[in-house]
Amino acid sequence: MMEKASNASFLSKNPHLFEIKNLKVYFPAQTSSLIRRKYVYAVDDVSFFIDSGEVLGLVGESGSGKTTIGRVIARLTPPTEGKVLFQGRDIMSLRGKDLKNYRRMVQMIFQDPYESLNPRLTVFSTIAFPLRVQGIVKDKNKIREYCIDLLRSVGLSEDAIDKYPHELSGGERQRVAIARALAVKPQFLIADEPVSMLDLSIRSGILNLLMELKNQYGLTYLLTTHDLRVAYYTCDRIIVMYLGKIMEIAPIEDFMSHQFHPYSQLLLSASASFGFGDRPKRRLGATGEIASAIDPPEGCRFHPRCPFRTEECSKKTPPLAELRNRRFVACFNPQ
Amino acid sequence: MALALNPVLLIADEPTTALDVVVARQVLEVLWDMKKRFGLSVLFITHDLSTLAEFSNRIAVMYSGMLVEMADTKSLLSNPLHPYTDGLVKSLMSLTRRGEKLWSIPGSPPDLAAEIKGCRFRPRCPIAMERCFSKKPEFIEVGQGHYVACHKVVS
Repeated sequence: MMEKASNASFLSKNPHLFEIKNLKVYFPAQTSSLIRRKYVYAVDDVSFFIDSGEVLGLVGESGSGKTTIGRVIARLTPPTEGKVLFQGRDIMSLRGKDLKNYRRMVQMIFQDPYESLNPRLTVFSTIAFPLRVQGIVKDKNKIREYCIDLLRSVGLSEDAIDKYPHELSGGERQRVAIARALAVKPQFLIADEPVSMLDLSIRSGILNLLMELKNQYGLTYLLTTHDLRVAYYTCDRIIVMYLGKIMEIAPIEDFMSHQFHPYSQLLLSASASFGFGDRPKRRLGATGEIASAIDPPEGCRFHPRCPFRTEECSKKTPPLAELRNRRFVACFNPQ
Repeated sequence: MALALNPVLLIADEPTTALDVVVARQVLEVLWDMKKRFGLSVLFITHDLSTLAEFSNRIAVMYSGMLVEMADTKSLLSNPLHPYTDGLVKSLMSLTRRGEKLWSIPGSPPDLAAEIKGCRFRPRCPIAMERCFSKKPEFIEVGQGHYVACHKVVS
């Protein structure tokens, strides 16, 4: 039975904006073997929810699956198994008008502003394109005006409108990408490492802008980053991922005061501690690099690098359990 | 490979910029060990001040092709004189303050092909004065080993 896509009726029935249930995304890997097909276990049995109005951070190293999750929610990558429910409805079941509306409500900002903008389109064409597709501005003569307003709201001047991407700096490009995402009046924004390609002096400007826009338009964000400092400034809750699995979920303030998972502790100790000329103050507890997602370790994915591992860790996968209020940890020996 | 010929100076050009935090940290630790073991000097090029805060003796700050400030790490970070350095230090993200608005330097770096009279940072500078429009500031020693190129600071 089809339900009408009216926001109010859904919100009352479903407390969460998104529910991700047992999501698995496997990509076929290039192998020489014809007999046994291998897979990259990019996301492996991940469940969580996103509440309306919050900023949820997905934190982890490259290869932890955080970008893939964002792409699945944006319906750019199909899940292998599991479901993504948006206001109670499976996003893969959306068709026609509902799908078009979903594509409007869920927008994505990509990591690299040098690649996410079409080099042959001016800023105006870039922003006007989704407007035309979605029919946001009915009066054709008003499209330009609407675009200028948008540019101003992301901190760009009116002159930027007829420029091409190569005439803009990295920070300005990212602002254009943000304007493009906002053009269609979305509800939910996926920001995939929005500042990691940008210079330090530009970074805080973009983060401030994202937070201002969130408050102004009442948006909900899913923000992926490998930098805990970025997460600390922007997120309400964070999910720490490692090799396609969730290690820990926690409200950010609580997380900063204590991390239960050894991997979370490693991530935090790797973030610059910032003491003057202190030299490497603390040695990292764990060693090695992130393992391959093609043949992930048995048991806990993190155990080969974990300083607290026991025998159990190499045999069984620790379940994600609620250790105390709103804090979930997947570890047999939480610290 | 860089160490095969027993160098005295190692130039590391943004060695950690594209890396993940954990791996970046490991690279820095290796660099630091090498430096100690072989008595190397390291010229570490980066845009990330927080890395330098831990891994450098002295810092030279460049803006648009010119040196704007140079000092030992501690004085540069605790007492930045040039408005650009000051902006950089203020926009460093720490793990202790939350909820505050992040500091950011307005504008973006200038087009290097266009000729700018006077100080190149002037269009973005919060304390620019008249002289900054006409005359390029010289790089002058203002404290022990602390150099800066700014009219306002020198005056």
